[in-house]
Parts: sequence; C-alpha cells; structure tokens
Amino acid sequence: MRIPILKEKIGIEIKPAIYNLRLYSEVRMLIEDLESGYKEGIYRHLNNIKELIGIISGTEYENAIIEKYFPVGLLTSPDQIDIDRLILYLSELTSSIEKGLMEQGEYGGTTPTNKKALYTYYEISFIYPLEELVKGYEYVPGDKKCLVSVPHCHPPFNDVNTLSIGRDIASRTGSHLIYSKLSRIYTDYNRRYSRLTPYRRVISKLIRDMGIKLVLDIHGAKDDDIDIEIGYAFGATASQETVRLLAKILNKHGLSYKYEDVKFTGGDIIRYHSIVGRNEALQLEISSRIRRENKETVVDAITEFIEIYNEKVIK
Amino acid sequence: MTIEFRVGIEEEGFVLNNMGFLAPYSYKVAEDLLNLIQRDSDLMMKIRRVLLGIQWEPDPSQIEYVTHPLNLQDIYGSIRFSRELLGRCAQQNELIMAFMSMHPIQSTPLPINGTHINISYTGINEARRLRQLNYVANYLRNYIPEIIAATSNTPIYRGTYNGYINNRLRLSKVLKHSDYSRLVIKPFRIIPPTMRERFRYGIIFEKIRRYIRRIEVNKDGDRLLDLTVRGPYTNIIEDIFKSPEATRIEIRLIDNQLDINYLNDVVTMLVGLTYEAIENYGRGVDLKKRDNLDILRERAIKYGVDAEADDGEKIGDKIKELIERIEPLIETLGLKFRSPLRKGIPEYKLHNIEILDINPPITSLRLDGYQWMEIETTGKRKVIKLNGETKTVDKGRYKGMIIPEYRMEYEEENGILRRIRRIHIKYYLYTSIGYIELRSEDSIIKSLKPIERLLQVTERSILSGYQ
Repeated sequence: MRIPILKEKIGIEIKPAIYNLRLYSEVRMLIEDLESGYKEGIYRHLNNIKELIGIISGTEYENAIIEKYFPVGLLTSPDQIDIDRLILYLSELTSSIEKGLMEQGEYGGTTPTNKKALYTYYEISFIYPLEELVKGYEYVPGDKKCLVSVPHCHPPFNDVNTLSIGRDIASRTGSHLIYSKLSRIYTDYNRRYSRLTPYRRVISKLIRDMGIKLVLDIHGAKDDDIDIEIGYAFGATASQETVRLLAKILNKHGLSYKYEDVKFTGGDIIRYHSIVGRNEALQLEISSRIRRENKETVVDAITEFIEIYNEKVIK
Repeated sequence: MTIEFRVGIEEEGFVLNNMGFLAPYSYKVAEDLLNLIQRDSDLMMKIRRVLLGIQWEPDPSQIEYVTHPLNLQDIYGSIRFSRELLGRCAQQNELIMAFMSMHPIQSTPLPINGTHINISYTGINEARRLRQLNYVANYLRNYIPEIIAATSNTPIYRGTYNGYINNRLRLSKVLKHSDYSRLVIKPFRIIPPTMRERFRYGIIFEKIRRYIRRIEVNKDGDRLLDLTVRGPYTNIIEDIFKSPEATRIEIRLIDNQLDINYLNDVVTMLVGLTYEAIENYGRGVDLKKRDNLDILRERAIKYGVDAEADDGEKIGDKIKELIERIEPLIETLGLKFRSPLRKGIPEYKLHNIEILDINPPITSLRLDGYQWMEIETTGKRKVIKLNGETKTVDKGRYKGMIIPEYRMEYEEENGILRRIRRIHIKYYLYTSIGYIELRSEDSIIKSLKPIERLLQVTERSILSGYQ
C-alpha cells in the first residue's frame, strides 16, 4: 500500500489520522463488497485492512479515534459470525471512526496531541457494585421502534419531572422506556465510563435486536431562556432533517428551541448509541421552567414528533 | 531590621461521593457555603479574616480555597478552618471533601489538584530587595528534589502502583519546569491592562525610554512555573501594579497532603529554607547552581525519598539533614514540626495504601490495552444477566471483555477524607451470556486489543462465509 507522500509537509501529527481515514474507506468498501458478494474485492480490502491495522495498532491514534466509540458488541461476539451480523458490526465501526474523527479538537481531550485521549477507552470500569447496577435501571417495553431514555431522574441531584415526561411520551407513543433508578452522584449513565453498565448494554441490545431507529435522551437544563435545547453533536448522531422536523413541531406548540449554537451538544448516550445509516439519537435538554409549569406541552410536542417520525422515516 | 513572613495557601480538593469516587458537585458545596455565610454573620467575619476566596477549577468535582497572606502562627488553624468549612458543606449533601492531588483510580477525565504555597517576607533593605529575592528563589530551586521527595503523594495511578511516587508531576501538562532566575533590564510601560487595546499601536511605534530591572525566571513568561518569584518585578499582569511589599515566591510543586500536620510541616520547611536563604545572603554566602538538578528532579519524581542524590546518599536522608539544620531558625519564628516528616517520612510512606487485586496479570494486560480476553475458569462461576437474573456456569473457557470493579476503603471524619486504606479490584468478563464473575485462580488463555479482535472476527467470518 502506498504510504502518504506528504509526510514532511503535513507533519507526523496528521499522518496517523490519514491511516484512520484510509481504514474507514477500506471498511466502507468491504461492507459494499460483502453486500454484493464480490469475492475478489472482499479479499483485497481485508488485506488492506490488515496492513492498516498493523500500522495504527499501538499508536495513540488507535485509542483516540478508533477506540473512542469502538462497538463493544464486537468484543462479546463469537469468533465467527454470519455475514449479515458482520456487516452490522462493521457499519457500527465506520460510524464510530466517523464520530472519532469528527470530534477531534472538540471538547474533552479527543485530539491525539492530548495524552488524556489515550485513556478514554480503557477506563471503562464499575465504580459502583455490579449487583446494584443491575437494579439501577428499569425497562418498560414498547411496540414502536423508538426508545426514550431518562438517565438522570433519580434523586438526589436529579432532573425534576424528566421521568414523568419520559413516561407520558412512552405510554402515548408506544415507545420503549428505560430510566435510571440510581442517582448520578454514584454513576452517571451518560458518561463514557458507564458504557458497560447494564443500563447502557440494554440500550445497545434494543438497538441491535429490536431495531430501534430513534433514541430520545431526556434531560433537564437549568437555563430558562430557551425551552428545549436539541443536542445532536452537530450532525454526528442524527440528520439535519430529523432535527428540523422536531424544531418545526416545537415551534408549532409555541416552544422555543436551539439546535445549532447549543450548550448541550450531547452526552455519551447519544454519541455512542447512534449508528450512521441505522439509527438516530437526540438529546433533549428541557428547561426547568417548562418542566415545572408546562410539561404537558412538551409531552404533546414530542409525542407528535415521534408519531410523524414513525410514519415518515421508519415506515 | 526584623524579618516578617507571610504565607498564603491555595489548595484544591475533590468532591467525592460516599463510595470515594469523584462527584461533579463542587457547585453544590459552594452554594451551601454561601447559604451558610448568609445565615451566620460571625462565621462570615471569620471567613473574611482567613479566606481570600473559593474558586472553580476546570473539572466540576474540583474546588479550591485561597487564604490571605497569613501570619506563621495562624497557618495551622487557617488550613484546618478552611478544610473543615468545605467538609461541613460537603457533608450536608452526603459528599466528602478529599484534599488529594489525584484520584487513585479514576483517570478519565484526569483532574489534578495541587497546593500552591506563597511565601512573602518584609523588612529588607529596599535597594537590595531584588537581588535578595533572586537569591532566595534560586536557593529554593537548589532544593527542588528534596521538596518534591518530601511532598510527593501520588504513587497510585489507575488503581495500581505504577513505579512513580509523584504521578502528578509526571502527568501534569500545566506546570512548566523553569531554570534558575536572573536579573534582567527590560523596557517598561505603565499601561493598565484595561487600556492595552487602546494603546496597542502607540506602544509599537513609540520609542522606548524607560527600563526596569526585574527577575526573569522563564523567557516565555512567569505563569505556571513550578517555582517562581511573583510581585511587581515580574511580568505577570495581576502583580505588576502591586506595591513592592507584595513581592513573594510561589511554589507550585507541592502535592496535596491529606493530613493537615503534613501540610503544616511542608509550609514550615519552606519557610525555614527561605529564612536560611535570607541569612546566607546577609552573610554573603555564594550561591552555586546545583549540579544535575534536572536529573535529580526526575529521580525524586520517580523514587521519592528513596531516590539517590549525587553523592550516593538518599534524598530522604538529605531531607532529615535539612530539617535538623533549619530547625533552630524555625524555632525562632515560633514554628514547630508536627508530623513524621521531621524524620524524613513523607505521607505516602506513612499511609501506604494496600491494593487487593484479585487477578494482577489481568490488571497489567488491561492497562496495556488488552481488553478482550479468553479466560479459563477453574470451577462454577456466577453469571449476572442484564435483567438482574443470576445463574451459574460450569468451568470452562469464556471469551469477552474484561471489566474491573473497584471498591475503596477509607477513613472519613466530618466530611473530610482522612486516609485511604485499601483498594479492592475484582473482575468480570462481559460475554454474550452476561457478566461472569472471575476469581484469582482463573487463568488467561489469550488476550487481544479491540482492534486485533476486530480483525480476527472479520477475517474468520469472511473466510468461513466465502469458502
């Protein structure tokens, strides 16, 4: 394989990022060939991937970009899986590389020059006993391909009324509902370190097995100027069309919103559990005033959004 | 002329939950402190005498208190008062204040705390002030290895002893290591910071007529240096318009000490050293640069008091000698040592946190990035499913992702962490059937990095699918 010739010009810092881009494109092409069954292409891309992984492996870019949103499912799968399942995992991987590359330079030490990025993936651990963590959430099944997640609803330091909003939305739309029964003072489910907790694994399982297409993560914000802030990591977790649709409906119900210049761009739940081309995820930060005084309007608006989304996008 | 010392302390602390892990609620502690002050005017008056302020830090689990320049006799009481005040506010929210530099387990993100000690002194001949201050700063700089060794307190990083006694200085990207300071003559303009933008071009095109003598510690600026002079003679904007009385030396190398007695002794040691430097300057003792200072500094970061000095002696013994030497000076100031630091025993040696790791080979592989493992269990094992059901599986080989579970044993008093006793590490293997609890006798058959596992699964699946 040809090594980038611009080494001297662009400097050593950018070089590994190029390998990640190449890996990304090779995996994409592999997926295409797997779907069409083009044998020669499959082997060629596999060999290229092998070579690229040899180069990237062990460098800080592996941790900073590839491992950042690495699909955990791949680590628990059997050695051999059927091709459809493999395509699923590989598209999850390309999606995570996309997000990893996109977030370079954004908040939280994702730039490869920042050594903190080295430890982003390793630090997945339980800092609360697992036996308690499995009781630390409640799942209410639904019949639609939408999941409502409420991770910060348990006191102390909870987002007041988010659970009742989440419950109402789920019951009125037939969506699945998952909510926390543990205060974020002990474990915040919306952080990287809790990716392997049962709460997060259930979300992954639902997306994979039940075919969830939309994840709505309900949170509460203190800021009272704007009624609802829509976090979608500037396009990494959901499409512009979806966000515009939601914005249009919120507008119709008289709720003010913000989605471009936002304070809450989205936490780990929407970033990790969104796979480009397969499902979308949005974080809704509902202001404390609206949660106190006007939650019915929010429930009406989001219910309408989910129904239209079900009609238009999912069907 | 009698010399009078003032010491100001800036100390950062963590807000922890009752399991000993970082809780991002420093705003809550600060909020409660404000409520407390509003209710209690006596407390308010006391706070005004002791504290300059409570400050935010980049991580929401960090909070900092800054004291006024204090009389030497008030240092111990003021540290105690400030810590207890924050501890009291934390306790109201079922939180704990921990005045430690790094969390021994959590490293994502990696908030780092430090103690900054500011020593200022008065009663010097004005004409010789600058030369003397330069002498004192360089005198202290000669003792950087001893200061690091005596105060190092972060031997545990990511749940293990990683071979460094001072992980804070090893990992800190903020503190700059500077060289010896020197006196320089530089152009000077009296333009307040608020007017800088307005006069910007005026300065560029105007002929410089006034020059000032000042101490240069680092050509890039005096900010965020490990040991620096501060005051009107530096180029730090906050200091430049202060009275010459505000001249001081700031030492940022200090790791947090959980025990107040230790912090008191660190301050005592530094004040003693400063006093010794002033005395030596007065007697006209020549100051030589210490050979291999950078190497000794690195050794002190790695080995602490057990590091070897240039003459083959341990740095711990050097600290003992130093303390014996400065003790008579300290007594004249009315100070005394309160902790075993007097005998050259730093806090990390005294506290010696025990790590009870159920399977150390897994830990070392995991920290190197090998998270996928094939494990052979020696007997029946408990499996916890995602829905909370538990079952047992027979002995055999299982593949999956390794997840550690940490538990801490600690001592707490009035909302303040006194000491960490033990760290327990146990492992689960996250597999397609659930979380399998591992034991010490279980052995590793194979381990892979996530990226290697990706390749393995892809290759095998393709080869079997397209035979």
